[in-house]
Amino acid sequence: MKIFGYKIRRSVFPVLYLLFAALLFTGCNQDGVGIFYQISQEEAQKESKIADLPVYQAVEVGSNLYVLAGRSIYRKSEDDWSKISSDNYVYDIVKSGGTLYANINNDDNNLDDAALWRYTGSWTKIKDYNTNVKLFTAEGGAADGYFLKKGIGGVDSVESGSAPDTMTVTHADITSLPVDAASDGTDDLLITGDTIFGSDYSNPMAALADPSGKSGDYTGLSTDGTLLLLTTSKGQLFSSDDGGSSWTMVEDTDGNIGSAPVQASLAVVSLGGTDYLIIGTENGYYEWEIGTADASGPTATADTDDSSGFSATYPDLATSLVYCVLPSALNSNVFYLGTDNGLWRRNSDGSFERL
Amino acid sequence: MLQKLRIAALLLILFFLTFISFPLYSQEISDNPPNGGMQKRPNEQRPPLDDFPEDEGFIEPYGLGSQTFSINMGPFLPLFFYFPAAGSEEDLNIFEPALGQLSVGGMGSLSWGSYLTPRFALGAKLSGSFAFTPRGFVHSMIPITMWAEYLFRSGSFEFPFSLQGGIVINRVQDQIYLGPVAIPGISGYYNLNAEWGLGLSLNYWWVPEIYFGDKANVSGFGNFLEISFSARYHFS
Repeated sequence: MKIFGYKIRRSVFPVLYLLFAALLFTGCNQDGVGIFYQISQEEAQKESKIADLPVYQAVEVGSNLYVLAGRSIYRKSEDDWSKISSDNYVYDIVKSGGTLYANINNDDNNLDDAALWRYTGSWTKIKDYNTNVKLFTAEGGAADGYFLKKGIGGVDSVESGSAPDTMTVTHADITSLPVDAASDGTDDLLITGDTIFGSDYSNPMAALADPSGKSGDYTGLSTDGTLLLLTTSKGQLFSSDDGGSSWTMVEDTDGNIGSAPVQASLAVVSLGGTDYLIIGTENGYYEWEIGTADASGPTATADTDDSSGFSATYPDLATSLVYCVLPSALNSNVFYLGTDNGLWRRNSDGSFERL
Repeated sequence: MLQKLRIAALLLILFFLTFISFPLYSQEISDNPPNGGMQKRPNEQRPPLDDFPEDEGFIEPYGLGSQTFSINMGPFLPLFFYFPAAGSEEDLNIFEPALGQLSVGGMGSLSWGSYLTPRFALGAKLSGSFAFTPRGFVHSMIPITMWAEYLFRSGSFEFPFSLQGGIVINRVQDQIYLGPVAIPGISGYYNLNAEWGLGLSLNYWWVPEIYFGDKANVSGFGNFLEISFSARYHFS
């Protein structure tokens, strides 16, 4: 037969069909969870003002939920969010009692010019620092656990106190940037990238010995009230039951935490009476049922049987960079994850919802 | 010298005007009946009925070497997913609706074929479809298929029944699966003339997505319906 003027043998067609028949056995998508499976399990995503913003921090103040999303502060209002800060950059938010505090830039033309503000329905400036500062809080409920480091990256001082508006300089000897802090009720610890300091926030803090086998920089410190829990940028997890004098390695660099933990992105949450350490990483989160042998991907905290099911059900969350973990004070089975894909709430039934 | 040339040109023009006018005049005269009377028109005779071929209405317009080129466009309806091993996967049913999880999408295709007999053709087709997941991801499929077709005809209408088989590039978000596809279908065309036909096609896309080992329980079969408007060009 002729096709476009060229003589084609009829035997070409069976050959072509055999070629296609061979291709029928071709397959790939080795790392995926299954295309039709993902589509069948995908849930519609809620649109909100912060849905497309990175959520760096979240705090519950009474029954109100506040987030630092992008560079502004939003308060949850019904199904949407209200922006409550001005257009100035907001660096950090913390709570003290029933009050929200924020570290806000003073001048668009000078990012190293911040001030401490208090929010009680309206904003009140507490103190001008006229330099760049970092405000954070120590997990564990220490009375003087609020920290503000003056002069990020430089040599200056660290303030702490029983509330952000009564902080005083307590540590002039910590010259590098504090990353996180936690108190087990007896010992107060603070970490920088390369050093653990203890053991009393109100006094000059001594450097403690590094855990054996420590690799990378320190990224997070947390506590369940008994154990102090420490992560490094290489995916290591350590625990200490003696105030940081000695550490037990739970996960090493080649362990189950497969992605780098994010600074200060970890917290202990109670789910159904069991405590879990939730570790936010650059690629989703990991959990460790405290006291067990290993950490893992989301299994017990999610309403799916395994992490591959979690990836299929919550693909946006599974691959998110998790900036913060906030246990809810209102419901012990609920926690929040601030991510580069918005704020997610873990509900009591184990499901996740983007707010 | 220039003046001589002008005179020569003028003479040439006069010459043409003079001699061309004769045939034009002659043509007018020749339209008149010769010798002043009408020429007798011969009687028309109807051809004998016995000379008509009995099967004139069934002359096959296509044969070996006849070719077609088709272009299709139209909506694309997700129907359902079939997961035969869903029993071992929590929250997954054997039949999961696709229309709620995928939007009504669109598709288009280009097809070429050649007739081996007046009713049977083989060809190749490149198609593409898209639809959106609940979170706005695009689910796309690009089948590359061979097809076989049997043609039913009635007057100016044609109804090809076809079966396509080949491979499909199946994609959503960051997942890509290269797998088989089978697409049975039926079309209806009205032939505007010997070359062009316009019509409607209904094609059922059956898209297996097979896994082995740990992921065997999420093996599934996608089922979709293509409703497309079609234009088909016939040539040899």
